[in-house]
Amino acid sequence: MKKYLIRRLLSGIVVLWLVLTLVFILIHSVPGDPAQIIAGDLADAKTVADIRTKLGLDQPLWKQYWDLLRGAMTGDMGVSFSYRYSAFRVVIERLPATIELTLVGAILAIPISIALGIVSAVKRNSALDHIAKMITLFGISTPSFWLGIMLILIFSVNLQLFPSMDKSPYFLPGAIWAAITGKPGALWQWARHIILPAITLGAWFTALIARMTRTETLENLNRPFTLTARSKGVSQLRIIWDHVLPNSLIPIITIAGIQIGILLGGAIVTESVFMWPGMGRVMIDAIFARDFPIIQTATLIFAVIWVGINLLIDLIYVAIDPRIKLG
Amino acid sequence: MKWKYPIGRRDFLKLTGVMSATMFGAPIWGERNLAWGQDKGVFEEFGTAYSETIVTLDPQNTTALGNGLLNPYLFDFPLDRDGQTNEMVPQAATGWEAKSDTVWRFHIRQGIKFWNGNPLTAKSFAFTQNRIIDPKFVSPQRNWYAQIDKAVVVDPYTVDIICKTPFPAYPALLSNVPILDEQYYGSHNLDHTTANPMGSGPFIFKKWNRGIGVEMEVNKNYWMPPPPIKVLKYYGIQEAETRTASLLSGQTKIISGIPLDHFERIQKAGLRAEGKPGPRIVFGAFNQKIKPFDDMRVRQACNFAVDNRKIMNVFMKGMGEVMNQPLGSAIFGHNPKLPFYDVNLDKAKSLMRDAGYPTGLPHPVTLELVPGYALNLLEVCEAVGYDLRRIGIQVKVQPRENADFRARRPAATGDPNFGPLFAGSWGVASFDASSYLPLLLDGKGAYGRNYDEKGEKWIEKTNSIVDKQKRLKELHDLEAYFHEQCPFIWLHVQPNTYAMSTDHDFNARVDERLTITKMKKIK
Amino acid sequence: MRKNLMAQVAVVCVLIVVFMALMAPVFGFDKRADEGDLELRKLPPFWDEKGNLKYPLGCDAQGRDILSRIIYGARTSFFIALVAVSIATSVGMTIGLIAGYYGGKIDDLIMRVVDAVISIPGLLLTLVAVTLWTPGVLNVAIFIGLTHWVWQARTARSKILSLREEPFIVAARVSGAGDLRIIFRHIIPNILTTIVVVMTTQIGYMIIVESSLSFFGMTGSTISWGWDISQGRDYLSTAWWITSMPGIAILITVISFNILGDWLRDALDPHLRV
Repeated sequence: MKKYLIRRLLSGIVVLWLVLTLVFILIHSVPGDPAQIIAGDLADAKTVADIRTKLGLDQPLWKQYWDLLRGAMTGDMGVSFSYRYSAFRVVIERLPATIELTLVGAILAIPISIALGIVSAVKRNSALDHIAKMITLFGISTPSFWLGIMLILIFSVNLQLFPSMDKSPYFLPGAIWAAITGKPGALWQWARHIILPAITLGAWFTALIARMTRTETLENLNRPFTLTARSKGVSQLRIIWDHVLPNSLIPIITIAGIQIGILLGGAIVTESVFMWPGMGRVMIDAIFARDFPIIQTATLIFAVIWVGINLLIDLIYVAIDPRIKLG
Repeated sequence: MKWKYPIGRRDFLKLTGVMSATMFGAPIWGERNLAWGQDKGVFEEFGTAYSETIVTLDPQNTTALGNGLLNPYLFDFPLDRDGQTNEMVPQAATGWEAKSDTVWRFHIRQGIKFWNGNPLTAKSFAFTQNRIIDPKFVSPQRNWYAQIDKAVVVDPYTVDIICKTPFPAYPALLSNVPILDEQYYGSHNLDHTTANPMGSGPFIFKKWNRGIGVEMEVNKNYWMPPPPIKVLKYYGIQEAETRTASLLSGQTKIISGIPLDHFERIQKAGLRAEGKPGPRIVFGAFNQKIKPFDDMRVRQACNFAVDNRKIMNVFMKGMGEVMNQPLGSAIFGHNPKLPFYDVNLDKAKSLMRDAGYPTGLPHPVTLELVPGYALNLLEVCEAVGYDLRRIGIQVKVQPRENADFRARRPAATGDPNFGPLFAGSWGVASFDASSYLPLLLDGKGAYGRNYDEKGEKWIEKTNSIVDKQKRLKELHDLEAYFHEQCPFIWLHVQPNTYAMSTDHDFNARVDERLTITKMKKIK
Repeated sequence: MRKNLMAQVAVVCVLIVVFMALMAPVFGFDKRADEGDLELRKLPPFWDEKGNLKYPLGCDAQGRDILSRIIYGARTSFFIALVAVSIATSVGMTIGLIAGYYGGKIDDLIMRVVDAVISIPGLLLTLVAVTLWTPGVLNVAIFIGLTHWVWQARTARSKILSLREEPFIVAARVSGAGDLRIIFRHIIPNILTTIVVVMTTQIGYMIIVESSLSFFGMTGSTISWGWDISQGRDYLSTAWWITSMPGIAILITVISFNILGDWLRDALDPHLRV
C-alpha cells in the first residue's frame, strides 16, 4: 500500500509537469499580445514594447518556461498582468468561493441523484420511474447558462426571493458562527445567495449521476448474486444495500470524481451568470486578457486538486472492490 | 494684437471670471457641508454598475473604461466635464490659461485634502502628470501625453505643463487625470497601489471585492457637499441581463451600457432609461490593401448601399446619430456642411459598374468584428451584410475573439489579409479630433488600414495648429476629404445608455460616465 | 420491444432531426435562416396576437425566421455532435481499453496524460482551435472531440479493471488466448452497453458543449442552436422566444437521443446474450 501511495504521488508530479508544459505551449501558440491589451488602442509601439519588457515577455521562451517550472516548485507563479500582484495570491483568494459552490452543489446533488437512480432502477417502468427519468432527462439536456438565467428571471426578478449575483460575505462556517453569536439572519443570507448558483451547477451533475446509478443498479439487479440472494429470501432493501450498491459504486464514483473535477474547473459558466467571485471567472477573464501567470497558476491549482481527487478515488476503489489488484 | 492663444478670447475672459469667483466663493462652499443630506435624507447604500470589472485600482496603470467610471468617486480631477453641456469646467483646478504656445498654466484650488490628511497642491498635480509620462513607470496611458515634456511647480498652487510641441487638446484630456497624493504614491510601489488607492474624492475607498466591485464610503470632509450616499458600491457586471436584473431588484440604482432592447422592460417597471449620443462612434472599415477596396468608387458604392439611417433607427432606437465623416457632431473638427450618403441603390450600382463590377464581386468577403465592441454590433454588421448583398457583395460576418482581433488588426504588425471588411468602435471623452483621427486613419494607429499617405500627413498637420479657428477650418477640409474618400462605411454615433431608479436625479451624461457628484435624492 | 411509447416517440424525433439536418438546403430554409427583415425584428410566435403564421416561432433580433434557423441549425449542431462523438469515443475507448487491460506502467502513463488533458481548461483549448485555424464547424467539432474523450476512457478503463478479473476472462487467459482475441471476443461485448449509453448521451452533451462555447464567443458557425441561444441572451426578458426556441430544440433532440440510448441499453442487456 505504501509503495502504491508513493508511486501515485510521483506520477501526480509527472501530471503536474505535463500540465504546465501543455499550458505553456498553448498560451504561447495562441495569437494575442497581453502587452497590447493592457496598453489599449491608443498606445504607440514604444509603450507596448516597454510594457512587454515590464511583464517579462521579451525574454526567450526557454527562459520563461524555466521560470515557470521553478516558480511552480517555489510557489512564486509570477505577477498577474492584469491585477499587478502575485498570481498565486489572486487564485488562492478566489478558490474558496469556487470550492464552496462546488461542494454545496455536489452535496445537494449526490443524495438526490443516487436516490433517484435507485428508485428508478428498482421500480423499473413504473410511474415513479417515468417521472424520475423525465427529471433526469431534463437535467441532462439543459444548457446550464440558460438554466441559470431562467432561474434568475423567475426567482430574482419576478419573485424577488433570491439575489441575482454575488455571494454573501460569509462562508458556511462563518455564517453558522454568526448565526449562533447573534446574527440569525446570516445563515439565511448565506443560503439565499448560494442556492440558485448551486442548483444551476448541480443540475447536470445530478442528472448524470442519477442515470449512471440507474444503469449500474439495473445491471447489478440482474446479476447472479442478486438472484441468488433473492431466492434465499433476502429483502429487496437488504439486497440493494449490501450487494447492489457496493457494486454500482465503482463506476459511479468514477463519474462522480470526474464530475467534481469538471464542476470545479467548469463552474465558469455558472460563475459568469451569477457573478460568483470564484476561480472560474478569474480563469475566463485571464484567458481573454492573455494574463499568462494567472492562466498557468489557476490551471496548476486545478490540476493539483484533480490529482488529489484521483488519488482519493483510487484509494476508495481498493477499499471497496477487493478484486482490483493494484498491479 | 493677434490673439495667438489656443483658447478663444471669450473663453479666456470667462475663465478669469470663474477663477476669481471661485477664490472668493471657496469659504461659502465649506459651510455647505453641514447641510449634507439633511433635506431629503440619505441613501444608506447606493449601487452603480457598468459592464467592466476593475482589475487595478491604480488609475495610471490601466486604460480601461471601468476605471474611468470609478475614478470620479475616489479622486478629483483638474478639470471635469459638465454632464449635460459637455464643456470643460473647473474642478480641482480653479482656472487655466495658455502662458504660451507650449505652456499651459493651471491654478489649483485651495482646501482640498486627501483622505490621509495631506493637502492637494500644485505638487500633487505635477507629480501626477509626471508619473504618467515617467519612462520607468511605464503607464499604458503614456503616449496620450507624449507631447508633454514635464510638469513644473511654480508656486504651491500653480502648475505649469511644459509641452514639447503645441498641445491644444490638452485641457480636454484632464477629466481623465485623477490627481494623486504625491507623498503616498511616491513612497509606495505598484504592488501596493494597485489595490490601495489614496485619493481626495467624495468617497473613501473601503474594500475591493475582486471580480465583483468596489465598496466606498462617503467622505464627509470633501471640499464640496458630497452626494447623499453613505455607502457607494461600484459593480462590474459583464452580463447585460444580470446588470439589468440588479437594477430591477434594487441592488443598483444607476447602470450604464445597457442594450437598447432593455429600455422597454425597464420603463415598464416604472424606472428611467435614457440614451444620449456620446463620444463613441461605430463604423465599418475597409482594408484598402485588398482589391477591390482600394478603389474609391467601390467604397462609395458600399456607402450608398448601406442604409445606415435605418440601422441606427432600428438598433439604436433613433437615439444615436447617423454619420458621414470620421468625427461625430460633438467632436471638435466635425464639418456640419457635408451631405449624407443616403441610400441610393442606383447610384451604388452605377459606381460599381464604373469600377468594373457590374454584377458585384465574384467571391464572398469577410466582415470581421468583436461582438462586444459596441451595442448590438453583431446585428449591425449582419444588417450591413444584407444591404451589401443588394449590390452583389456577398458578406460573411465573422465574429472574432478580442485579443485575436487586436493582434491582427494593426497595419504595421498585424495580418495583411485582415478583413477585407471589419467593424470597429472608438470613443474618448476628450471630444477632440486629435484623439480620433490618428487612431482611425493613420497607418500607425490601431485601426488605420486606409494606407493614405496624404491623409496621414494632413492629420499630423492639424494636430499641431495652435490657432483654434485655423485648426477648425483645416479640420473641416480634412473631414470633407475623408467624406469623399470613404475609408469607412459610415454608421452611427452610439448613444450612452443609462437606466436609473426614480429616487434620485441623475441624468444621462454625454461622456459615458457615472459621475454623481451633484446628484440629489428625490424621494 | 417497440411497445415502449416513449422510445417510439424518441425515434420519431431523432428521425425528424436527422431529416431536417439533411434536407434543409433542399427546401430553401437556408435563405430564410440567413436573411432577415429588420421590420420583423423580435416578432413573437404565431400564437401571440402580434404574431404571424408565416413565421410560426417568431423572428430573432435580425428579423430572421426562427423556425428556419432551427431547421438549418440542426445541421451544424448535429454535424458537430456527430464528429465530436465519433472522435471522442474512438479515442477514449481505445485509450481506456489499453490502459485498463494492460495495466501496470502503461496504465499509469496513459492515465497521467489523461489527467493532464483534463486539467487544461477546455476553453483554452478551443481558443487555440478557433484562432490558429480558420474558424469553422469542422475545426470546432474536431477540437471538442479531442478534448472530451476522457469520460469514455475512464469508464472503459474502470469497467475493464473489474472485468479483467472475472472468471471467464482469467480462464481465457490461462488457456492461452491472445490478448487481441480476449479483447475483441470477451471484453468489448461486455462494455458495449455502457459505451452505447455513453455515446448517445454524449451527442446531447456535445451539443450543449458547443452552446457553452458559443456563450463565450467561440463558435464555428453563426447558424447553430448554441449560437442562437447565446445571441438571445440579451433579449431573455423582452423576447424570450429567441433563446427558448433553440433551447427547446436542443432539449427535444438531446432527450430523444437519451431515450434512444436507454432503450438500446435495455435491449442490449449483455446477460441475455451470454
